[in-house]
Amino acid sequence: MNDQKLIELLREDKTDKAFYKLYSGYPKVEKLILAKGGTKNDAQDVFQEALIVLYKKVKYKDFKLTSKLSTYLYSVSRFLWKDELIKSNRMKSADFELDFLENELDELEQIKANEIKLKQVEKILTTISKKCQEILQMFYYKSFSMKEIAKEMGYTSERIARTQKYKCMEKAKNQITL
Amino acid sequence: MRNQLEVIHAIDKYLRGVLDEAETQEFETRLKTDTQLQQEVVKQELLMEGIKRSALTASAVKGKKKYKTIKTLKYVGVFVAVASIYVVSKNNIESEPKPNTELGIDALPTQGFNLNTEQDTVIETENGSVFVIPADAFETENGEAVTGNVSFEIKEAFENIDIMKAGLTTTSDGKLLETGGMFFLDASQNGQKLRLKKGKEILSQLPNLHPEKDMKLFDGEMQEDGTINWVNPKEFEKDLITVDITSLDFYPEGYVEELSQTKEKVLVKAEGDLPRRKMTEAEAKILGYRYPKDVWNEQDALRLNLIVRDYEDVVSDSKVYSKEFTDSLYYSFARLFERKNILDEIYRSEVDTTTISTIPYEWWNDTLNNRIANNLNGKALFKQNCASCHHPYKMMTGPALKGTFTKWKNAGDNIYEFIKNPQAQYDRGVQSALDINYLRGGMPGQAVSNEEINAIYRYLGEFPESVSMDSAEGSPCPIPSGINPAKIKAIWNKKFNNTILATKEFEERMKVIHESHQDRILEVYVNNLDKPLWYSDSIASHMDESTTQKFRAFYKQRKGGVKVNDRLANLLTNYFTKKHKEFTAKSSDAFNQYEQNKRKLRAEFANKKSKKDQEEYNRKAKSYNEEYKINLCNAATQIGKKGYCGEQNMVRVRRPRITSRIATLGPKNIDAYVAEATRDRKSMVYTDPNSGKKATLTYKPMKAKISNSEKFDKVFIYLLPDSLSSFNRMKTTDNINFDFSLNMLFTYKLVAVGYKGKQAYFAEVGSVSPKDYLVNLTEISEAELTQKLSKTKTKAKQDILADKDFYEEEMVNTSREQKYQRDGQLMLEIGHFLFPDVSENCLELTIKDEFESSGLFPVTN
Repeated sequence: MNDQKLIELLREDKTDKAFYKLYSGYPKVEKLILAKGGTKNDAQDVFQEALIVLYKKVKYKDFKLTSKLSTYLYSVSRFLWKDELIKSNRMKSADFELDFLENELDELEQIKANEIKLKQVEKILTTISKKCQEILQMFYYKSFSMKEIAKEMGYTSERIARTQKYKCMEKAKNQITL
Repeated sequence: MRNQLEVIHAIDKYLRGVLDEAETQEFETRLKTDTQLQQEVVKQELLMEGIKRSALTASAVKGKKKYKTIKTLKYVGVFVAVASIYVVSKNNIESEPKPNTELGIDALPTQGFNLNTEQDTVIETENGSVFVIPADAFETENGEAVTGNVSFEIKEAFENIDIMKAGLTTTSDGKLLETGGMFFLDASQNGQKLRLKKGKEILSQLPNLHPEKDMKLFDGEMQEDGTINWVNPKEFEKDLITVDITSLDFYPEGYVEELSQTKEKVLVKAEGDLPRRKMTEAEAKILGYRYPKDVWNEQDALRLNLIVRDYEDVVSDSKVYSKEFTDSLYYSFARLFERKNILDEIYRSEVDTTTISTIPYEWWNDTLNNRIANNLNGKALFKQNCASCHHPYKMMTGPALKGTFTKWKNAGDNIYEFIKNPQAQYDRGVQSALDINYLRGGMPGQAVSNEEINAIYRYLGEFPESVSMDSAEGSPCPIPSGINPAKIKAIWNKKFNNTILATKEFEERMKVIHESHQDRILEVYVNNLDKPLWYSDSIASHMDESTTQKFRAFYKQRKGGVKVNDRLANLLTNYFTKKHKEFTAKSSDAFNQYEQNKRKLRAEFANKKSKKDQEEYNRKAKSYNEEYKINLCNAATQIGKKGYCGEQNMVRVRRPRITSRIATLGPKNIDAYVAEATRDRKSMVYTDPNSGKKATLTYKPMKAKISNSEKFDKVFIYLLPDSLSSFNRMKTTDNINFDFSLNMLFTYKLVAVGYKGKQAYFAEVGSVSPKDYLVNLTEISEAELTQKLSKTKTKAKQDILADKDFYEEEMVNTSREQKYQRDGQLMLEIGHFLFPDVSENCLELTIKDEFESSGLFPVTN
């Protein structure tokens, strides 16, 4: 599958398929991170994060394909891992070269900063019930209508689904601190 | 909605941009000043983004899993080729050795569950493994009993990466195993370790990553060096083998056997009295027979038994039943459940929206009466069925309808039967019916049900609600306990091939489901097509006390499942839900149609019969009057009295009975003697008291015997007097011996017409004298018959042909009624067997005594 096709998949939110294909770039990233003092676990976290960054970039920012996607993912992973190392005081920035331009870096920083906040929210979301998570994802990510959600969840009316949705949101929102 | 939910709702709309311009402005104005709202908006926006992110992460994890699985499978393939070990291990440490931290088992994520030891628990893990933990399964390591809640932990390692991370090895007595995954189970209570009781087992259903491999389940044995030796391999439960679902038997136990017995009984009874003549296709259709075109030839048709094909299938070889027949009979009982479906709907809309399967039986029957009754619109029914002849309060063609119900009830007569078939009630001499007939003339039968009749009287205000449903006559039938046959129909078809339902194992369970009388147990299996049988067995064992033991036994067999795609399973479940309702409604419709059609045809025939009776009466009266007139003229002439011949002297005799009064009452004169002689067909000698002259009328007996009588279904012998316009009938009781008393003033011609089926036979004697005749009938075509009759008088010819037409009508009616009777008897017997709690009234299809099975109307002359 070519990169253009993958980008289209991401834009259409067909992420399952796109991410699966993009995982072919993982071994290279794992090698990098193992070489730079990380574990396999780190490698997986980083790569996953890189996929999300890529998605956000494709979906919400002006993304122009200047290199192969696998290369881009590799670069983002590098950037993220470096950041992680600095944050945990394990390495100084000078030891690690990055292959991004200034303005690109700014944008990445911005995305990353946002993602850190969202990661906390994501953690909070794991504390609410599975059902809640499903409803919220269906509505905000998969863009299901309330009717579809009611049907999917076996509720008899849209009204019940809607109330459920707000209750779920309430539960999660109450745990968010700014 | 609570206040906070409303705030969330408002912010949500704002953030999603679905507010209109004015609303947006209003919201933003508020936002400027309300710092708390600002915070809320920020939080909620974060939340929305977070939700999206969590979905993305999930997607990434999925992508990874798929990537890994495919990679692993490739790896396994290579591995097997090199090591040529085909055993793949899954392992199971049942709360035995302590997980060694050095091995990193603790590094695996733990999924904790809280179990109630008093009940079976089914757990589904994140990897999709399912564990069933039986009630009362644990004890302490010292063997003490455990009650209350137990915490249960599961660790899974299905990915190679996890297995390696946990430092798990896969050797069995030094041999290397391939692994399909490992899991660890651990139970504790208040921090105290527990173990499984002896004899208790935890059932597991694991995501099988290598379906092509013959995998076994191993127990892990912790070695001193910290590695695990895998021992005690056990076979996994196998997928069930599916068969063609239509080859299975989902009937209630004993149904087919009962049917074969009942059927033979019913048939033996019916045989022999079938009319033997060819039916037209249209007739066969009306009677509900399937018309077997391919075997339809003259000979078969004459046997007619062939037309009764439904029965023929069974009777020709009582060991072989056509499934089509046994099915259609069984499914036809779905109509008994129609109310349950209606009530399900009512219940769903009013009482509870989720648990439809648990409608309490009492609720049905409490609600039943009123609800169903109210659904019938008495006014509309009145307009449709009655208003053309009846007014509620005024006399019209028929009497005012209001009050008739009470009147009949007080008289102890059955108005329901009367409305549906008045003729039968007249014939039986029911007084209330005769009163109406005397007053108002005949009423045609109405195609209405008892419930509809009730609704009509309720509309007329005669039939108070409280009384209405207590009366046994009109009360609706209770819903039978038992499985709705429509539900069986909905699963017993090729759609469910290749599911757990199409297995011998399910066939066994179906018998027990029938035994339980619980529809919802069937639904458990239908709703869990994607699960192994034991899963549903386990649920079923808690649903009905009487069958708990049997389902427990099934559960213990640990029967597996049949792989079925989720979507397909869903579709099939929906198909079931939709179809069984449809089938029930259809069955009920078909039954109502059958009943209505039956009533219509009966009423039609009753009307024809009543018309024919009237015609016969008129004909006889006319014949009598003609003969009387001739006799009187003749006798008067003998004694020399004048003025007795000719039209003006014709005594108006409405019926023989009136004549008989003249004969017995008052002073007798010649009129009376002649009338008596004519009526009784006896010779008379009258002496005129004034002149002493004698007048004589002579009647002499004559007999006829049919020499080839055994051939005929019905024989008519007509005597055609030269001086009368119509004929006299010879009397017979057996269709063989006929007798008559000849008026010696006339010359008679004898015409005999016999029928075998529709085939006519004919004989004639030119001039009859008072003696015994032997009559031999010979076959004759319809055209020839008409030709032969052409020489007879027009009126007589018409009457003879009318006899023939009515005879044919009656033949059709006879065989139709016989079919109804067989249908009814079959329905009743099988219905009793299948649903013993349903009263006869409700299974009713039977023809009661209103049907006269003997040949033509009684003939007297």
